[in-house]
Amino acid sequence: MSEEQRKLLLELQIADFNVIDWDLYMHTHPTDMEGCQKLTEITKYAKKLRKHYESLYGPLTILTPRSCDQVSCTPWPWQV
Amino acid sequence: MLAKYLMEQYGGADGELAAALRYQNQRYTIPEKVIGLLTDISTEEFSHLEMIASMIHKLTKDATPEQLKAAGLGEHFVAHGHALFYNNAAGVPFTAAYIQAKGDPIADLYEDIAAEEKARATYQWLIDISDDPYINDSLRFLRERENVHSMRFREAVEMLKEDQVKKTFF
Repeated sequence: MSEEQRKLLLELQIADFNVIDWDLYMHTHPTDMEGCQKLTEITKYAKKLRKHYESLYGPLTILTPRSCDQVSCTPWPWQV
Repeated sequence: MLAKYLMEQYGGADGELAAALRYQNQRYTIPEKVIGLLTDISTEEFSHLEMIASMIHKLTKDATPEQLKAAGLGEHFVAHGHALFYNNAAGVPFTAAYIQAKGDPIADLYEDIAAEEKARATYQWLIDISDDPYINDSLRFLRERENVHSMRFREAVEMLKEDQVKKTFF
């Protein structure tokens, strides 16, 4: 894995984590409009980043259309 | 030695497997308002389980039987080779007896808060006993997540209590 790929993957992991954390917050603060806006923003950003990463390095989940030789390809998360 | 200790959070009573299974099972009988919270925290716990698994695997995959024996994992090796297994640090296999689903929202959420606090304490003891700065970075992250989950569960209890009060008025 190249340094650029590693960096982009880390950025995506941070973005995904932001979504998870703000999502949990909104579960117990459903009327917080500022939080709602934040969650919408970071979800969009994480989606954009994921698309960019996948366009360069291949699919991250089974929901991304892929060729059959990409069905089982390394590295898996614990091999990075 | 650290790999053996980390197993407490893999297949132990206050570990990630127990947490993930507990919340994913309780969510079917929890009030509508907090189903999403239990679902999302459960999912996150499964990803933490993967993190712990990765740590144990990376620490043990290249170890010789002699090294595993010296680390207290001789018994683990004869039963499982280099495979992972849902044991606690003392080698006791996971059991569903560690967790509960009471079908009572307050009872269940209080158990969940306690579970998060116990997991947080376990992470603290792991950090105290570990001499690996890289593993400790990850353990500190996981410890903080237990804090956040505990806070969210406490807020969920308050939400349900507010609803109960409303019901007595109308």
